[in-house]
Parts: sequence; structure tokens; C-alpha cells
Amino acid sequence: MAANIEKATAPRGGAHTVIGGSIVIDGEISGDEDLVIQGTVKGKISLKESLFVESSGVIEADIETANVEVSGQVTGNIAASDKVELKTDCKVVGDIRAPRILIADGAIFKGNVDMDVKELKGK
Amino acid sequence: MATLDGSTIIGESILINGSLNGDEDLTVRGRVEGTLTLTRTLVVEPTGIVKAEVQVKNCIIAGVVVGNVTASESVEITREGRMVGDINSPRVIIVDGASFRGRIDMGDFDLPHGERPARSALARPVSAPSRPAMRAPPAPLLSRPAMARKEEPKVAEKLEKTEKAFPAKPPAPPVPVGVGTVKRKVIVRRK
Amino acid sequence: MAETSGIIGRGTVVKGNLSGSGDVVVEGRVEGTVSLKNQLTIEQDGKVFADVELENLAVHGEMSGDIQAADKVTISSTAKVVGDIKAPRVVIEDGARFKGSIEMDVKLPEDI
Repeated sequence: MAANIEKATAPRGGAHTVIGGSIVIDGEISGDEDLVIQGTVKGKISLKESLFVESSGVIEADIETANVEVSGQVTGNIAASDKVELKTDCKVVGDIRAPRILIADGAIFKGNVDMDVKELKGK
Repeated sequence: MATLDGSTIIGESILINGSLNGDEDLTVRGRVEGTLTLTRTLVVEPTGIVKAEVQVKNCIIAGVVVGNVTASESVEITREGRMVGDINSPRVIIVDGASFRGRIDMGDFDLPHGERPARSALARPVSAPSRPAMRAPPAPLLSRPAMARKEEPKVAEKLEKTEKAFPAKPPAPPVPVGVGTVKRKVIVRRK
Repeated sequence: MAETSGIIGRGTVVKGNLSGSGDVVVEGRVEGTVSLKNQLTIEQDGKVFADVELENLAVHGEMSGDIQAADKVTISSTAKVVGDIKAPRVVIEDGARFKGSIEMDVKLPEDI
């Protein structure tokens, strides 16, 4: 299982799963690899690696993962064991729980932030 | 296995449980359960498992599919493909080595044995290419045993009924019926 | 491959039980039942309205009936088949017309 993925730019290059722009998923997604979302997901996302919500991505779900990078829309709670990054022009409504949080200038966020240092355990 | 360009890929370790809808091609290397509806092509790669009701335009199965597949264009099960479920598609290709268990319905066509299926948009006029040999010019009628004569009208009737169900089809080719000698044929024409 | 024991020519109609140990080629018409130890080939002009039990079946023409093959069933691009098939190997070529069920041995992963 590849753990070294380019996270800087164009995560698509190193990621294995891409949910394209016209895809709508209503249900649960889980996995052990990076996930790039350009479409719509409603339900629940649970990953061991990184989640990239691209600018066209719309998520109405609770997210539990190692890393999250949001450029699109997320409505739901985010729990990351490593880092959460909210990029410019993203829109996040929900609570964030992660040891490291980055909110870029221009990002829109509404919710609580909990930077509890303790390692995230599975619920 | 070729991956479709610029399409959605569900990686090997990903599990999606729910309903998936899309207007693009989808390649499954992981697991999808629930329902899967696409207006384009679904490719289930050898590592892919789809346990869902599938509705797509085209479907190429090289992995495992458990569930019914309805495709508006084609379904192909490759050598590594395994499927349990029903297929509804005008074109179905099963390659040698594939595994399949279920029903196949290719839409309505001129069924053998005089059955009369309802008209369907999926029906293709395949009967024309399949019977080129029968379009041979009628051979002159020579002496035939009296027995053979009785058989003709019944057989001809059954086939007439079948063919009358499809007025839109190309005209039915002549039907050669029973004579012992190889070269002589009796052609029965539709009235 | 076994010798061709029988050819049912274009103008011939066989009604009844057809059985044998060689290969049989049907260019005419067979109605009834067919039980062969080897191969049945239904040519493009051939029509078989029968339940068949054999080793191999190759259909290029029309067939209506249940098929039980010990080895392989091939439905070619010119074929029209209606019936249920039970065989370890079944091949359906592009262009074939088929309606019925197919039962092959399908090995599924345990967690299905």
C-alpha cells in the first residue's frame, strides 16, 4: 500500500481513486488509499489516507481520515488524525477535529475547531 | 486491462456502499455495493467487485459482478470475468474462459420455433445476414415423393406466423423444405 | 476430434431422438431430442428444436431447447438460440441472439 503520495499540487497524479465531476454517491465510502472527489458524496467517508475535495466537489458527510484538503464544499464533521487544510474559496460547515489545521485566506468556515493533540482513535 | 481516459476510478482498497450515479465512464478496481447507474461505460477490472444492481450503457466485466446488469448497448464478460445475475442488453459477448450464471435477455428477436415476441425497439434485423444461403434462386420443381408434400404446409405455416409478427423486418427468405435429393429444393413463398 | 458420423443436409427434417458417438452437423432441421457423445454443429441454415445433451455444441443457425454440454457451448455471431444452457464453458460471440439462462460454475470470492 503506497503511503508516499504527492500532496503539494495535482494530487490526481499520485492518487488511485478519483470520483469524477458527474458522479453522485449516496452512501458510505471507506478505504486505505487516497481519494480525490470532484463530484458529490452524501453519507460517510472513512479513509486511512488522504482525502482531497477538489473545487467541484460537494460533500455532505462526516469525514474520518488521516489528511483532508478541501478546495470545494463540505457540510459535515471532519476528524483527521494528521492534518486538515482548508484552501482558498472552499466552504466548510461543520466541526473539525485534528492536531494540525490550516485555513487559507479566502476560505469560508463555520464550526468548531478542536486541536486535541491525542491521536485519533476509531469511534 | 485498459483504463478509460479522464474517468472515475475506484481504487483497489476503496469500498463504496450506497448508490452511485454518474454521467461518465467508471472503472472499478475496488468494491461497490448497492446500485450503480451510469450513462456511460462501466469497467470492472480483475480486482473489482460489484455487488449491485447495475444500469449502464456499456459494461465490461473482467472482475466479479453479483447482481443484475441492464445495459442499453452492450455487456462483455472477459476471460477473467465472473458474473452471477441477469443480463438485459441487446449485445452480449461472453469470451471463452468467462464464468456466468444467470439469464440473458437480448430483447426481442425472431425466435426460433414460431414463438411470437412483442415488438421492441431493441430488436435488430439480424435475420437478414444470418440466412444468405436461403436466398438462392428457386430451383425448378421436379418429381418429389408424395410424403414430403404433406410436411410442407405445416412447417410453412409456423414460419409464416413467426414472420408475420414482424412486418417491419426485411422480407422473409424462402424456406427450402424436405426432399431427399440434395440439389432439388421446394421453395414455399408467403401469400 | 471424432469423425463426423452424420450430416443432416439442407433439405432434411429429422423428427425424433438423435443419438450417437461421432460428430453431427445439422444443415437441415431436427426436432425432438439429441444425445451425442461428441459435437453437434448447427450450421447457418440449420434449425434444431430439441433438448440436447452432448460434449460440445456449436450453433451458427437456430436452436430452441435446453442444452447440457459436458465441455463447451459456442453461440456464434449468426446464431439465434432460445433455451437454458448448462455447461462448464459457454462462448457468446458479438452479434449472437440469445434468450435464456446460462449456468456455468462461477467461483466467487468468499466475502461476497
